[in-house]
Amino acid sequence: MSTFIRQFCALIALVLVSAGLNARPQASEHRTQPWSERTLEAFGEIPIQDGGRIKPLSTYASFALLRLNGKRSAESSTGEVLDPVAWLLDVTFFPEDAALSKSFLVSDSDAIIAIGLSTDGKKKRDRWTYAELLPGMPRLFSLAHDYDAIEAKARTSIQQQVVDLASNVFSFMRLARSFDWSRGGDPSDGHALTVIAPANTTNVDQPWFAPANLVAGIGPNRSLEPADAAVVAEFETLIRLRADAGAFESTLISLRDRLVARAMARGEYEHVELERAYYAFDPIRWSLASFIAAFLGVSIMWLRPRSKLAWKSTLALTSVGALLLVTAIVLRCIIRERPPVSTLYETVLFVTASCVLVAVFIECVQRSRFAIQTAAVLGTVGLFVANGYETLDKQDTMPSLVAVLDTNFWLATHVTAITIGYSAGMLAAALASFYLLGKLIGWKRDEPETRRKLARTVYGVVCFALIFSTVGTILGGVWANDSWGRFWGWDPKENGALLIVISQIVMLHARRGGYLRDDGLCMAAAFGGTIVAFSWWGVNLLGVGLHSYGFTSGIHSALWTYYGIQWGVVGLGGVAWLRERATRKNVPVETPVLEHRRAKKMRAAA
Amino acid sequence: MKRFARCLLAVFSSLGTSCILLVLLGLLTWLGTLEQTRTGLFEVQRKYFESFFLVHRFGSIPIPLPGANLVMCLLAVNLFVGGLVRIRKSWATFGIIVAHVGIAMLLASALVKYEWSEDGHVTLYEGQRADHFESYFRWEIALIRKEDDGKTREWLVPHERIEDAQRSRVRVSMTDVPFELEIESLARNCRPEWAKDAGAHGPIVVDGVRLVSRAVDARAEANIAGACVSVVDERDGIRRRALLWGAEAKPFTFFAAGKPWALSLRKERYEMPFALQLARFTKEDHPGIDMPKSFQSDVKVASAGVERDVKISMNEPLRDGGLVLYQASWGPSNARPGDRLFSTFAVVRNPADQWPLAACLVIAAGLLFHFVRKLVRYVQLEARAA
Amino acid sequence: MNEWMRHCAGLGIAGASVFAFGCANRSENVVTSKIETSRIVENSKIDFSAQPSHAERFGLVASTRPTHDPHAPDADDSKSQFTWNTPGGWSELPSSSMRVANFRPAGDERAECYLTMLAGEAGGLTANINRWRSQLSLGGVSAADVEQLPRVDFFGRKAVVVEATGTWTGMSGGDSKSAWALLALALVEPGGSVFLKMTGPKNTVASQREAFLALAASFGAPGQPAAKVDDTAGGFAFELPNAWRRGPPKNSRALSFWAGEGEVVECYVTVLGGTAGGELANVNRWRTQLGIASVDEAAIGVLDPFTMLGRPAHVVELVGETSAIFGVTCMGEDKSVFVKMTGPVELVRKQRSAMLAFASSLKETPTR
Repeated sequence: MSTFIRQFCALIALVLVSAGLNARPQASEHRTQPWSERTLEAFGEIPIQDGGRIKPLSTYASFALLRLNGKRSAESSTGEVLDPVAWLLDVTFFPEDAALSKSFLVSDSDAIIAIGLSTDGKKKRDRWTYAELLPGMPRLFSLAHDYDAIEAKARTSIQQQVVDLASNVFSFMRLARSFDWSRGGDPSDGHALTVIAPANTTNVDQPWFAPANLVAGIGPNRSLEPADAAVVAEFETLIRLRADAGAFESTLISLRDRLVARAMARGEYEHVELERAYYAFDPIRWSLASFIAAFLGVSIMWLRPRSKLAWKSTLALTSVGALLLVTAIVLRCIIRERPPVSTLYETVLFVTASCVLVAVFIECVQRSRFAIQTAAVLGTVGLFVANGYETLDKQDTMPSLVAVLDTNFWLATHVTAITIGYSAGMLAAALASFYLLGKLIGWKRDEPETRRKLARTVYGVVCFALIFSTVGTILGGVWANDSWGRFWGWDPKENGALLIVISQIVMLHARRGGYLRDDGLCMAAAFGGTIVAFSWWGVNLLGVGLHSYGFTSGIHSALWTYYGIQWGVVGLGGVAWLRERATRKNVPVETPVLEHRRAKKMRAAA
Repeated sequence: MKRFARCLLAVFSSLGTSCILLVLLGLLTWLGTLEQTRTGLFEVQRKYFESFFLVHRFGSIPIPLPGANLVMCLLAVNLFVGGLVRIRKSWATFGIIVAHVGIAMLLASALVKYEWSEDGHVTLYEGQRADHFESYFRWEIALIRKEDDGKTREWLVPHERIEDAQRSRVRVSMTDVPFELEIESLARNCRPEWAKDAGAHGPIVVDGVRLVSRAVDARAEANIAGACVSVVDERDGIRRRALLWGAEAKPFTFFAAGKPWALSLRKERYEMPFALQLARFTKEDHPGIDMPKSFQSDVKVASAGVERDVKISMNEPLRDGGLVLYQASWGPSNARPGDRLFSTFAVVRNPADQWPLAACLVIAAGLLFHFVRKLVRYVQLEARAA
Repeated sequence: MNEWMRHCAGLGIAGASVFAFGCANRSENVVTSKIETSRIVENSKIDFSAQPSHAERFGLVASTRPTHDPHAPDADDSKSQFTWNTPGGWSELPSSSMRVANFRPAGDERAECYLTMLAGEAGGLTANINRWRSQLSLGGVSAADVEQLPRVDFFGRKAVVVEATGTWTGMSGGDSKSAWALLALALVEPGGSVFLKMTGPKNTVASQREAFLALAASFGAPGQPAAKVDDTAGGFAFELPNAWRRGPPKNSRALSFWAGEGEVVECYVTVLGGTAGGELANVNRWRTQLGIASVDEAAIGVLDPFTMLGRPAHVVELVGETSAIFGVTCMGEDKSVFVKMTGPVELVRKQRSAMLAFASSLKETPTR
């Protein structure tokens, strides 16, 4: 019984989908074979203007699918796994088929229930097709419209999901309507694929056209320029030949050549190929693989402490990972023609790279093994965070910048300095956590020199961090003064940076005054990690001030997890310290100030 | 006595004091940041960062704390006495001393900015002209008299008196003015309303209109002040009452002592040594999206009969006559293509404008010297040990 | 320990002294102050001779300039091949390649109305209707249903009237909107198709239905006389404010409107010969209608001045227990013109500026 109803509903859905997507009533063609390699390559190479910059269609498709589906692949109705370019080809050329592919990730099926659909046969967190969602769409949009009026911070999880789902469905519909104009539809829809560069001007601020835009120019007493008309004609041919794989491929290649030539004529195709190469090679993925391998090397170093091979291979793998990451950062700089750090995502990459590089340097100088272990761990964690953030943010990681940020000088100086400050702060926290946990488990109990060396390394990294944090913070003020006329406004982001500087100055002064010795310094540095995290991520979640980038609850939970872990480590360090005090007399470490005071006291007594 | 002085000196120069003060400053910074999610930046700035003393509420528990102003004053003393005067002077501490000098410069520029700077904005539509700029938050009441030669003379009741007026009546007398002004009441944020009848309680009704107070808005610029002001002429005992409102279209005009006068509640105005006229404002968006790529204003600056053309854009301000003008923003925010746009310039008069940059360089130099020296010695030590 | 206590004591004393220094005086009942200095300002724009009322200074009384856009001056002639009569209160927007004629109905920014022409049948009548319906998140209809839809004259042929309400998703780049309506005429023929489509919030579309149909009727090819849409009547030409509609005609009234939604606030124009008993008498007559006491001649002098029909006039605002009268009296030797708006107090207040705009837009047309 239920199978019959399901099939009946599928049939109705298909009919509705046809009406909704305005397919030609007579020939409802389907794609009969997978898209060929050359087709995928040709489509991916077409340049599109999106988000204010020119990018390859493969990047556009990749982020579009990531946003809708939570991953860079979609499962079609025939069980085929579609990569982003194939998925986009389906959505635009075979919308009836794409409607049956699982394109929408819904994290909590309660959202589905809220729009009046049944969740039979689906998991709580599952992927849905357009056709499955179609019957609930009026309610979806109506609810989303109401929930959108609520301020983002005040929405419940389900409400936010409904809003996001509506937005995603809407994006899907926009793409699916890209070629509606060839089926007699209203060309005022379907403007998503802005792949046609303006022909008669080299002004880079001119917006590009979607085929629908050009078609709208055709009318009584109005016709297109020959070049534009040729492009439209080629699109029409392509759409007509969609079911003939071979003809489609050759027409698509010809269309791609035409569109690329237009972009090149305006000098806008420079880095598109490089970007395609970057995403195809995916150096970040290989870097992560390297770091994970290094992580395994670390565990072997613990199992076999005397093995030189384990140490050397860990060092090598970490270095390779760092090199790949640096390559990725450099490529991104070239593609975007900007200094390395301009968005939150890029801070994660840069911080990871700096931490690992500095730690590798320390290892090469000291050869004490704890630095390289910390480097491997930081590299792995850092790149996991980067990937997680990319999925959470769901946007192009190489966006255009708002006017105030669009200045290479300050991006190169202030932002880079602050980011290096973050990485040094996190490295100090990581090394200090190593010390504290090591103390707890009795690491190098009979080698106090190694422990002291680690504590001195932490001290050195804090000094390094202080320079960059202080210089970066003040440069931020100078930039603000140059842009808006006020050096310091007690903005949350500025306050966060000040907190880092203050914490590091306190550490150094307290150490010099004898109030903090090895253990105390490491506990303070570990705690300093949470201050860095607060300044780096926490202030953005407050939603106040000039640096408010947007609200993401995934970051919130990740941040508090980190806080908990770090405070736990500090607490355990305190436990270890108390335990040590209880068992034996504390031998004070001589610092210049204490020595001076003791000498003075002795003179006074004499 | 000498012992006490020496003891005090020891306290002020000690590292322990530095640590305590820095921790206090950090605590204030952190609390002030969290507070901004509830109260606006302007309020938080006044309460936590520009005060000497405050009471922070943790839930319902009041916690008294020193204000950042106080902490920074003490830090300045500590820095000077401990970090510059009493510190041991050698190559080992040279870098530190230089860095401390840089911090002292930073604190000095903060003091100069706080005491001797003026900042505000000037907003112009294309073609409009201005010779003064206005504060964002500070109000003044201007008493204006028409002079015989067509000019006007103004007496200004400053912002501080207006703040006083929130708590008590303020009576202002002015030289060469034959009457006194009494500010009977003042609201920081209010709107006008028709009032059919003057109730016994509630805001004063003048001319069928009253000003109704509203809650102070977290966005400080959204607050429009309003005052009930009386012109008290001792000689003929006439008391003219008027309501003044910050967003009024026209000032209150009246005749007294045979001359025409006007009263106006407006944002504090600061003169500019030149006249500024906006010739053209251009805004460029990133193509295809609603994100501004750049905006710039073409202005004419006229002083002493000489006029010149200047471009002011984001990150490129105009510096002239001790003032700096920045391209701050534009509007109206819901403008459609083809609508008339206005350009807003942030204006700052700050003698210590470039001091922070100098301080930054000094601090960087000091820290670099100190730590590079230490690093080199450490690397050498490790190399020798290896 | 000793050292710590000394540190804290020292700091505490220092802090307390600075705090005491920084404390302000306790406020007394009256704060006195003396301002010693004054300054000369060169070009002040204050009009010292004017004595505006508080209401005028605070913007509670409307400015006397019209508040809505005048008819857009330039419909690019090269683009449009037709003539039409834009309904009163509608703004004309620049036409685009897709939209031969483009309007903003009733000045409502969320609504739009445009004329589209497509070659051939453009996919067919039913397909287009269903596409519009899907933009409103509605299901499709069959060809049989389409046969049953009403038809009106459009360009000399019969066009289908399509009406629907739902949640709008059809505009690229916007978010969805609920309680949205569509009213459209679809003329589909093999030789070419024309669509006149109005979309917007349900209430706007409903209230502009007549205007829409009048606009449709007014389309004509060049050379044909455009059908006239009446916004002159009773011997006056005027600009009808947003959301005002023609009201029930009555003998004594030259013009009559409903101001705003529903039929609650009435506004009408009366023309009387001569001075009609004088301004005072008329004002008192209105006052009596509201149940408030009459006034004497002096009160007339305090009325706000206004200009209507090129002559000096007065604005009268009277507030009674539950209703209010807001009017303009324009006295003349030959005739006096009264514009009177009456209704519940709050609603009349809301229509004040619209009424003044209407009054200032009144022009006498030569009688035919």
